[in-house]
Amino acid sequence: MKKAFPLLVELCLAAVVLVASALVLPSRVMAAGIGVSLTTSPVSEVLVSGPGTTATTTLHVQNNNTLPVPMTIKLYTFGAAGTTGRPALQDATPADTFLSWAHFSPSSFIAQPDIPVAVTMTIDIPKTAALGYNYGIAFVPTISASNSGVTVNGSNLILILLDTSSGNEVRSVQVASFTVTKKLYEYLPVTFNVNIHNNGNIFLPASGDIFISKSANIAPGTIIDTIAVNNSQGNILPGTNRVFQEQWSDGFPVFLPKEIDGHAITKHNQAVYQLNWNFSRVDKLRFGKYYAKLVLSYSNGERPVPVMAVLSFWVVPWKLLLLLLLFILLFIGLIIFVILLVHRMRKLQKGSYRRHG
Amino acid sequence: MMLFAAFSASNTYKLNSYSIGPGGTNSAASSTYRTQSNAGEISGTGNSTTYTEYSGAVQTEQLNVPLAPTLSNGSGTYYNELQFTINPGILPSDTTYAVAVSPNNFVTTYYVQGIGILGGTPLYQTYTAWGGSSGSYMTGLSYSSTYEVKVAAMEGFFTNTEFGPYASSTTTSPSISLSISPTSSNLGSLTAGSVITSSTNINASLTTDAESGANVFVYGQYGGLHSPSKGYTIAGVSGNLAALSEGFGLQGVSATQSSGGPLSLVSPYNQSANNVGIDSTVPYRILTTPQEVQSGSSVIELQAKSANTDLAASDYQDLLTFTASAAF
Repeated sequence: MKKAFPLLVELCLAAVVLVASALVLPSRVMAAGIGVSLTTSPVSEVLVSGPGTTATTTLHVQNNNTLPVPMTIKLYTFGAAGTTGRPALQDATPADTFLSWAHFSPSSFIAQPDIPVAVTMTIDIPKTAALGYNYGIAFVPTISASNSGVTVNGSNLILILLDTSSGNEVRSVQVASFTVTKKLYEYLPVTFNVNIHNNGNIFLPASGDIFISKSANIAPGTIIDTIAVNNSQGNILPGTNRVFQEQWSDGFPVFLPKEIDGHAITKHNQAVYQLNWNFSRVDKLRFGKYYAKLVLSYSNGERPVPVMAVLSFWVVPWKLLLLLLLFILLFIGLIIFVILLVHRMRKLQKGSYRRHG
Repeated sequence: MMLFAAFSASNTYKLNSYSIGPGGTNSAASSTYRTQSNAGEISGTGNSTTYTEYSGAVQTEQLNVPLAPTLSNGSGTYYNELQFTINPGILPSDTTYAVAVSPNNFVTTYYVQGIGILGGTPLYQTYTAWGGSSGSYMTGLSYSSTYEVKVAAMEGFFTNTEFGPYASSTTTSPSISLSISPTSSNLGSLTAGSVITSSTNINASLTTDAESGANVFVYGQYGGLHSPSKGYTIAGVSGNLAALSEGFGLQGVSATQSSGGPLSLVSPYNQSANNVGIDSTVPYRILTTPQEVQSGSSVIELQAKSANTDLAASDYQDLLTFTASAAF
């Protein structure tokens, strides 16, 4: 839209713009509404149904505001953005024909205040369907946009993953890496990063546990703690990695998120941690080399398949140790001082005897 | 009477325990098992739909079958866990208990382990170790699913009971709540060459119990301030508006929460001064939380700058939509 106007025209235009700038955006573009407030459930769901069949689920949406809101449904597809399970939302394109398989009842409705609305989603899966399909279902309040200024709306998204159980599915994941954020910790928590790669062609979850032991063989009798991994059964999309971050925090002392009046404290958008000294847990003082064994399992369609990895790390509360060492040295010094004092007093006493003898 | 307290023994046998009845009992043990058997007693099992009866002196050593535990889904807030409280009734304080769980009326049975996860082997712990009257949690459950839970008791050897009657509870479904207000934001008049900041900020509130957290995306209908009458758009940009000739964007002012989270602003929306994040027709992430968050709250302002070459119009507009989504 920017054109190379002659200088005179441009200057005139600039003057007009300056004079008329008050008209660019009115000072009050639109009466401020009460806003939008929605609750939706579930947040994501896996549907499994074969080609030529129908998959059905129920989605719930509730308008939390005090006035009724007309509601429509907008469909997205999505892939993986990053490694945290975050959807990379994509607007529907003509190529995304699978979106047209989905139908909703009701497809549009008036959401009354505080009354949950159950919306039935039905997917008519054609016989030609294969592998998996990702649906992002957005419940969007219908708001009439102002013809000037910025109108603001809010919507909630429910993620649906459809597994067609087609015969060409390859269900496989592997541990890309199993690491700790540091090799040496002063105190717990120890943070584990479990990086799982889906090398198959269908999304699937992998979940299990991390077993902590002081023994390198991590036999059942030696396990001192167990940490669940991917408890919520998050999925890994084919060809992508997903990192599950888990913490081992059963220690003394331990860094815990700082709270004031029940409110979590953050700094620069990060949680602030503080050292917690709960002396009833003094038996949980961690020291030395530890081993962690990751045992995950996923279904290959026929049976659970385990995947494993092992690592080691150190927990050395060096400040505590230095303090302890200082006390020991002070104690030894005190003993030496007392011995020397006694020795000197005896010497003095002997000298006194000689003088008097 | 004292004779009953003495254990009978010879070179070939030793009677480890007595019961008063028509026969004697015997115990044997190794490092891997213990058995107790009796002889000369009436044996057999009687049962109906409401009870099971075992005969024999050994049965008299057993504890009472524990009552059904008390279950809670947190008043409809737990979606992958349930709280259970064992009902010890009149059982002795040194009794240990195992907790069995099933999602399908005990066609498949799991057992609660010490830290709440489910395993394949019963774990016997004291009432206190299971949380006492405060109860304990079993985790790793599926949402919107009904679970049956029952308890068995044991006190020393040869006393463990069968699992008692079950209680059931249903997990809920994780949810996400997003509130946006107001539905318009005031930018006022755009003076060419000046960065204008909205006097009305946008408040975004996010609450979710989704374990993997959530994100809030933002996109615009036009990806900038668009004038239909002039067919011109002051495009959405990421960058420093003070240094750019024109543009429109969003800047997060704050992000807090009451618990969980933390809810944080995502680059490029987490800048200050005149650095803004883009208003695009494609959804961009503006807020994130790595885990569940309660009463997450963020304030977002709008900034715009027009160039003196922009066409004057009174219908510059955009429709910004904030969309909340959990992980897949």
